[in-house]
This record gives sequence, C-alpha cells and structure tokens, in this order.
Amino acid sequence: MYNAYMHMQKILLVEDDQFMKSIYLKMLSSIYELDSADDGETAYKKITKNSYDLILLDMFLPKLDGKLVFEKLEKNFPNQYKKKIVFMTNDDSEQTVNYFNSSGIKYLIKSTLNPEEFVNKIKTYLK
Amino acid sequence: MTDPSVTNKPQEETLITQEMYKKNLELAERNKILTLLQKIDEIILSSVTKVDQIADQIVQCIINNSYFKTVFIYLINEQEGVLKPLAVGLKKTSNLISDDIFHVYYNGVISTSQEDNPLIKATKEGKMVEEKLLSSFISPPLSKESADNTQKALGIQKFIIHPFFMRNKPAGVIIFGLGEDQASYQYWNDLIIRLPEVISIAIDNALLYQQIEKDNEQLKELDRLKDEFVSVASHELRTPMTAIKSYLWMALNKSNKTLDPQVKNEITIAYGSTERLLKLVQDMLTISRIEGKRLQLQKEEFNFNEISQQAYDELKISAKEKEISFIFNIPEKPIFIIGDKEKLREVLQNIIGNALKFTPVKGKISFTIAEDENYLNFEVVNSGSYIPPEELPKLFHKFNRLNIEITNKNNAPVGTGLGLYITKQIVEMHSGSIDVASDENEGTIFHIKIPKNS
Repeated sequence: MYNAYMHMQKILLVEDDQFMKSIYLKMLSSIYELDSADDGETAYKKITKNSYDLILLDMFLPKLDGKLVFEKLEKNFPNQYKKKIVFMTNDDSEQTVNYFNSSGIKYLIKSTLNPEEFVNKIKTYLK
Repeated sequence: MTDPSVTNKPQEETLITQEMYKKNLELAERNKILTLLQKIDEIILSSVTKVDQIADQIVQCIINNSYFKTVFIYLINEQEGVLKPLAVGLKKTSNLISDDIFHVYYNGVISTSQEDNPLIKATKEGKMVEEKLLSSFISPPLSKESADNTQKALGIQKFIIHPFFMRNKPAGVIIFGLGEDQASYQYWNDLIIRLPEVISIAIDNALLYQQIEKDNEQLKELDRLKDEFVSVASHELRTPMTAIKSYLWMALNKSNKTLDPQVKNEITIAYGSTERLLKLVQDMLTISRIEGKRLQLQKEEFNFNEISQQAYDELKISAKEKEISFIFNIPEKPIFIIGDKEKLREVLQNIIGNALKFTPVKGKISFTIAEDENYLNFEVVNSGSYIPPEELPKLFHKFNRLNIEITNKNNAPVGTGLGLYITKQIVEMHSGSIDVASDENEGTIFHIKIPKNS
C-alpha cells in the first residue's frame, strides 16, 4: 500500500490522556507521519499553521474543548477542515452522537475499539 | 244571608297567590344560589391552578351572580405573621369609587398582632364576626375618610367576616359586604356559611397543586442532575478502562517476546473482563436513559435485511471458532421497516450473541427473518441450552441470574446480565413483543415481532 515514492500521509493526534496518546502514536507511527497536541489551544494553532491529511480530535481537552476547536475552525475557515476532522470520544450519549450527525462530522468511540480496530478505522478515513 | 265560605274565597285565593309568589321568589333565589355554586365548581375544576387567579375568578363570579356589594379574601401567612390580601371584588355601582381601593387593598397587609382588627378577631376566635364599618378593618392603610366614602358609594350597610379553615387550621377570612336592602339576603345566609368551605377547598387544592408543581420541578432537576452524573461518571470510567483494555491488547498482540502460556491466559482473561466492564458501564447508562424515559428512538426507514446480514457476518466468525452450524434464512426481497436502526442492530447483536454464547461446541443456530403484512418477525433458535419454563421470565430481568448451569456447562463467557432487559425495552419502545420458549430437544427459541411501521 505504501512505498518509498509515496509521501506519508500526515496526521495530527490531539489527545490529552498520555496513556492513550502513547498507544495511538505507537500503532500509527509506522504508517503515517505524526504530529500531536495535548490541548485545544495548541491543536488550533497547529491545525491553522500546518497541513494535515487527518485530524484526530479528542472531545474533552484542556484549555479549549475539542468541540470548541471545531466550532472555532468552522467559524473562521468554513468547511476547510470539516472533512479532515475525526472526533474521538467515549461519550456516546444521544446528545453527542446527534451533534456529530447533525454537523456531518466523523467520530469514533474509543472504548469500543482495540488498537488494531482503531488503526483499521483510521485507514478507512485515509483511503 | 251570606255564606262565609263564599266571602272568604277571594281572601283565601289572595293568600294562596301571595304564598305562591313568595315560594316562587324563594325558588328563584335558590336557583340563583345554585347557579352561583355551580359556576364556582366550574372554576375549581377548571385548569387554572394559580391560587390568586382562582380566588379572583371566584370573587368576580360571586359579585356578578349575587347581591353582595363586595367580597374580600385574605389568606393567613403564618411565617410572616400576617393576613395577606388575596382577591377583591366590588360591585361598581358608582363612579365615586376610585381604583385606589384596589391598590390599597392589595398593599394592605394586616399583622396578626392587631388584635382589635375584626379580621384578626374572626380568625383567632374561629367564628363569624359582623362589622358595620369598612374602616374597621381596612384603615390603615386606607384613611378613615376614604373608607367611609367608599362604603357610602357602594351602599354597604354591614360586613360579614367569615373565617375559613384548611385541614382544621385557620387559613384566612372572607368578607361579604351587604347592601341596605336586607330582604334580598334572606335566602343567602346558607350561602354565606357554605362559601367559605368551598373557597377553602379551592384554595387548598390550588396551593397543593402549586406545591406539587414545585416538587415536580425539583424532582425533574434532580433527575437531570442524576442523568448528567451517570453520563459524566460513565465517561470518566470509560477513559481509564479504555487505556487498560488497550494496554492489555498491546501486551497480548504487540509483545516482542512470546508470552508464557499461563501469563497469556491470565492477560486474556483480564482483557475479556475489561471488555465486560466497559459493556456494563454502557448498559447501565442505557438503562438509566430507558428508565428515565430519556432514550429517544431515532426513527428512519431502512432495510432490515442489511443490518441482519451485517450482524450475521460479524458473528459467524465466532460461530466458526466454536464449530457451530450457523444458518441464516433471509428472504430475497428486502424488508423495509421504520425504526431506530442502531437500537435494532443492538437487539440483533444481543439475541444472536446470546445464542452463540450458550450453544455448545458443534451445536446449531438458525436465524430467520421474515415479514407479513404488518409485522417484521425474526427468530433465533439455538441448540443445547435448555431453560426450564419457570426460569424463562427471569431472562428479561435486570442482572438475571438463572438457577441453571448452562454458563458453566458450555464454558460460556459471563455477560452483563442486562442485555436481554435492554433488548426487551427497545423492542417494546417499537411497540413490538419478544417471546422465548425452550425445549429439551429443540433448544431455545427467541421470537421478536415488530410492527413494520412502528
């Protein structure tokens, strides 16, 4: 699937839980070029400064909540990042899922996936 | 000679006519009273639930349907130690009556320590008091002169002050202002005695309703907080649990060294338990939503064959591992239904997943979906897990623990004990039904029936 002539696709991983971040980085590092952020503010800065193929955005983040990062991006750069963002959460309440569906945004529920399933899901987003 | 009976006849007739006239008058008055009571009944039974509104409507009704010139109602406020004005009605027969009287009335709180005030006297003594002057209970705040002028303009001769009670405790007073034409009132005494009772019931009901409404609001708020707590707690629980699960998975699958078989077995058990714990948190959250009636179905029209095929595909791998013969009977024609796709997917996963768990190695499962004119039917039959009839209803209870040993016998993983309860709730939310039967030879059959347009 990947060869030396291809550029590695670039992912920004925004996750404040260091344990989960470490696993996700480990699982994805051999396939993708990775960058990471621990909080919403840093994430917003990196997203608007750099270019990523996919942005994995945790919902609950320090400084600026994942949802607010998304809304701020949409306000300042309508539709520019929407397709690249995947929300990551453990909150699968109807309210949250409805929010994702009505804003037409991709999401994954972390607790339902093992690391391999997680990677497979990321692969489908970057196909 | 004159016959006395002849001469007396016209006199007698006159008497009879007079008597009849009197009786007719009385009847007319009693009818008026009945009409008034009926109207008050209607107000009490109406949907108005605010105490002041109810009192106001009753007072206006009395004024419009009786000879009373004024009606005042005061309510005791025990905490503040005062009588508070609740409603007032005036028969406005003269332009001399200024609106000041209303203003003064509604601002005139009477302290229960003013023992010479006839209103306080009536509530303290618990009996009716008659009073000639408006100023005796309304001044201050209204000046005596204004009170006298108002009384004169209204043509009031006396006031009847009647205390009323709620649950045997003094609750307030009602004051009737009577005009000069005393004859008009001769049939209304009964009413003066009955009205305070009726009004106290009306006010008591309204107050109770207000209290219930307030309690209800508080309960709703508590419920909302509880829901929020469960939601946040389950999220907080899932975060570290996801980390544990992921690290156990890494140890099992991404270790550089081959794991010692015993260690591998132990980590596998730990991994399975973490998954179960995550499912348990999820199920408890779902139940909290179902029982709080907050779980709403997201209905759409969809192809039921599609989610059935997906459920089959996902689970046939596990079936193969146990060498179970897994048969799927699916009609060629798609079955379209209106329902919550994700919730019904959960139902399929629960029912087939259970069958897989409890079917012994090399056993048999058949999964059939079909439709008739109005219903979607699906059935899952699995071999080798007999459940005695008396145990069957328990299957749908929360944390069901059956008195049988099928779990041990088949070495099946333990579930959360909530899956079938949730399944039943989801099916019923779709106006459907779920049945189970078990036979020692045939095995266990789950049958679910859901209206295609629920």
